[in-house]
This record gives sequence, C-alpha cells and structure tokens, in this order.
Amino acid sequence: MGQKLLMRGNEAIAEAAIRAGCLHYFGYPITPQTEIAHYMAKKLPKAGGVFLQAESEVAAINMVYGAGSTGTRVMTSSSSPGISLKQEGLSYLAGAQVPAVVVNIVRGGPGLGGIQPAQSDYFQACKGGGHGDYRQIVLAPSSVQELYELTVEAFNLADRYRMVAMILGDGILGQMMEVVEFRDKEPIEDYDKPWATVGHGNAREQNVVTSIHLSPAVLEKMNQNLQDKYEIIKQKECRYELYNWEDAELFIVAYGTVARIAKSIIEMAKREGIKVGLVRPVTLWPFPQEAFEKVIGRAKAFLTVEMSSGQMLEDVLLAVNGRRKVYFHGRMGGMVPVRDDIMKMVRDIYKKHVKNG
Amino acid sequence: MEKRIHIITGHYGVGKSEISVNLAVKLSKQGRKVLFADMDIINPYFRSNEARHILEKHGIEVTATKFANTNVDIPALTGELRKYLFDRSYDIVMDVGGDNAGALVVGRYRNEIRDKEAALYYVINCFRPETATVSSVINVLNEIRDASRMDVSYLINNSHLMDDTTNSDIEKGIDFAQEVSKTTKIPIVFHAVMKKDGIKISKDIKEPVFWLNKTMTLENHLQFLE
Repeated sequence: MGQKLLMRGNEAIAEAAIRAGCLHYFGYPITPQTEIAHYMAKKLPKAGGVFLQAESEVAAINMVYGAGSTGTRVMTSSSSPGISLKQEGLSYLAGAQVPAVVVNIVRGGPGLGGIQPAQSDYFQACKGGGHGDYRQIVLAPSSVQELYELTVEAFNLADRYRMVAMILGDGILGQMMEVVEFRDKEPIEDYDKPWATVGHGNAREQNVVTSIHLSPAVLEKMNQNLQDKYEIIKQKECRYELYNWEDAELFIVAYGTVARIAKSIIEMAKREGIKVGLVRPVTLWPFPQEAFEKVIGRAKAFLTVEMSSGQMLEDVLLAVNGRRKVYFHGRMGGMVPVRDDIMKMVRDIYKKHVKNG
Repeated sequence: MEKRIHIITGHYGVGKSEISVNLAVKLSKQGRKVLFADMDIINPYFRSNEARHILEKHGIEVTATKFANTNVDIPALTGELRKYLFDRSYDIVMDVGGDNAGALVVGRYRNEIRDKEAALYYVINCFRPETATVSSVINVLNEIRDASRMDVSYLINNSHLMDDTTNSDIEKGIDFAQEVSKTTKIPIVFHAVMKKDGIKISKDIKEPVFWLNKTMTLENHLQFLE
C-alpha cells in the first residue's frame, strides 16, 4: 500500500473514481454528498476527464446513459431525493445494459426528509426503484477505506457485467473523516466493449444502445438474457464479512455504518459473557445467502439492526427461511441506533434463546 | 496575543473548528472577555456551534450563523457579529468555513475588521488530499486571502492522520509547514500535535508545540490548555 491521506468519505469516493479511470461525472448538488461533485469539479479535469453540473438529477442520469454508451467509465452521485429522480434513467440503463457507477449517500426520507443519515433506500436500491425486471449490483461500504476500495471495484463490476453498480452509503459515511491508505496501482480490469457506440467508420454494422424492443418475443428474450446474467452474479459476486463468528451463539446482521455500531456491541456483550457474532453483507444485491449458511448451525437467533423500518430485514428473513427467530431493531428519519438500546435487546434474546433456550 | 480579533481559516477539514474552540478557551482562561463566532457557511455538520455548551461553561459568549445545527442547509449569517466587531471590550474568535468559499464571510465583514486589531490564521494539514503539496497549500492560501480581502498573518500547523499519526508523520508535517512558511514568509504560530504514548518530537524546532489530548472528544481536547 502507498500514500496515506486523511479523507472525508465523499472525497474518498471521488478520488477512487478518478483512480479507477472514470472520465465523466454528471451530477447535481445535494447534501450530504455534495463533496463528491466538489472534488470532481476540481480534480477530474486535471485527470483528463469532464465534470458537468447538470440542470437536474434527471438530466445527469441521462448524460450518464449517453456517455456510458460509448464504453467510457462514467459516474453520477446524489442523495435519496435525487436518486429517486434518477430511477427512470436507472431502469433505462439496465435495459440497455450500460455500465455506470451510481452513488447514493442516503439521508432520511420519505419525501424531502432531512439531511441526517439513514438506510431507508435499501428497497429502492435492491428491489428496483425503477420499472421492469432488473437488478443493479449494490455495494455497502462500512468505512472510508472501503468507500475507496469498493468504488474502484464498482467500476470493474459495472464493466464486467454491463450494468449499474451502486455504492449505497449514508450521511455518516459520506461526512466522516478517516485515514485512507491508497494502493500504488489500482486493480483496473480492462474489458473489450464491442457494443460501444464509438463510430463504425463503415467497417461494421452500427451499434445501437437501446432499451426499446417492441416485439414481445424479442423483449422476453432480452429479459431472459438479463436474468441469466443476474444468476451468474448471484453465484460469483456475493461479498460479506463475518466477525467474531466462530464461537458466537447470537448474530447481529447489519451493514454500513450500523455494522460499526454492532462491532462495539459485540465487545460490550463479550464482557458480559454473551457471545455475539456479526453477519455484515457487503453486497446487498446479490444478498449473501452463503454467510447465513455458514453461521446457521451455531446461531440460536438473529438480530437485524438498521437505520430504517426494517428493509434488509426482509432479505434476512428469506435467508434464514424460518429456521431461526429473527429480531429487529431500527431507527428512522436520521436517528442512529444507540448501543444501550441494542445491548438491551441482545440481553433479552440471550436470556430467551441461549440461557433458557 | 496582542490582537483581539482572531480569524481561523483553512482548507475544508483541516481542523479549524477544534483549533478555534481551543483558542477561545485559552483566551478566556487568560481572563479575557471572549466572543466565539461560528461563521461556517459551508458545512451543516461537525461545526463548532456543537461545542456551545463547553464554550459557555468557560464563560464564552457564542454567536453562530442563523441556521447552525438546525439541519437547514442555508448559509445565512447573523447580524449580531457586527456589534462585537466594534466593541473593544471583547476578544473575538471567528471560526470560518473551509476554502475561499468559507472565507467570503471575512470579506463580508472586512470594512468592520480593523487591521491593527485582527489576525488571520491559516490552518494546514498536509495529509489532506487537496493540500498535500506546498504549491497546493499556497494556492488555497492565496484563494482565501483574496476572498477574505485580508493577508494571512500566521500559519497553524495541524498536520495529522488522527490515530494513525506516527513520529515521522509529525516531523513530515513540521518540515512541510516550515517550507510553506519559508516560501510565503508567513510565521508559524504553533504546531498542534496529538498526545499519545510513544509520540515525541526529536527534532529542534523554534516554534511552540501545542500538545493535544489523545481522546478525540472535544471535552478532553480542551485539557491541553490547562
């Protein structure tokens, strides 16, 4: 590893994108992610790229569609209300199989909501906020270092599968400052893009990047191709972290910022003789079923903690599939789960399922 | 310090607010009547107004931008500051937002800030990505000078990597600040260094060192002044 710098999460995302070879950024400012645009405005032109502040989020995502169609690495970023505006574009990108990286630094909703952190866009990111049978790869970093590493990875995944890879952070991750250690050389994967619309010089048929297929038979075939691709991604691209899991009896399931709180809970519980492990999904789609298979044998119960009303909870319930009891604790609107509340639940679950279980 | 108006500027995220709060407490402990002005119009998060209760505990009066800590992201100033700028019984610490955009606030009050009463400080952290080279740190300094319409009087070296800071990082920061000082001919008022086991400065330096307490909470941070 190379240079160490003190960075805000949003800055680390922007720096990572530039290092990953992103040449076009289109966006519109919104708290708490505006530093991404700010950093890109200053640094992307120096790296030979183009920064453009669009007139709206809708315009920005359509610029991403256009630039991405040429096979160039391209990104946009926003926060919850702005990502809602981009949903039509995201569906079009999925249909036309345009690779792009989209960052959502989530804030409390619904509606205009507030500017404090939340995880309440999980459904929108993982279940499709736009229309149609589509998916996008969703990565959930938990530190500023991971914001950097997973943003670089997102560009590789987007190119590898010709689709959108989303970084799903929250206002805390975007705003917090931590040390980032940069690699001397980024692991950039270089893919042939024979589909890109870069001019054919009359040497080949023209490429068309589109999501319109008026024949239902053709459209179904296109959908089947997408589903086949998604199946491969489910097999190959699940990422997760298991923490303190080898002798744990209870498991907290949490991602992003909340996984950090969970780690401090695990230390508190240890001092009380309660063995708690953590399942931390790093890819939210594809959801890492495998992590649950690894721990289900020793798990007496699960506790899902989120900054939402219980959105990832539904995927945890599917993964556990009735084999164990799954509890939930969540805060909403920009409030963050606090240790004492979670610890109280851990003690109660321990009493019920381990001590007297 | 002979000046009574202390204006703290610098690049975004270099530690201006922590330095400002510490400086205000120090002045108050020297028996001065202090006004603390949170004039950050850049960032709605992590602002010194959050330390209002600590400052007030030390008898420091606090004024802040109109919507500080309300989550309303609007850069509206307060009318209050002007009266303090004219009241010579106060020492004022002005915590200004990052970069030239933040320093516009200084420019706004420039006619009320008399040169002989005021000092403009420029905080440096050479481990921040946009001020990691001497030329980039001087670029930002010049942009801040232009926006505030005021020359920089002193440099404050606050180069650190939080808990990851090593002795060689500290020395790198000192060398870096000294080079900036040499190039710009602006004196360094102090080097801020986090107190931690094994952390020491082995080289001889002519400028004073402020030892900051290890814990990152503001409350503990203030102990270094005692």
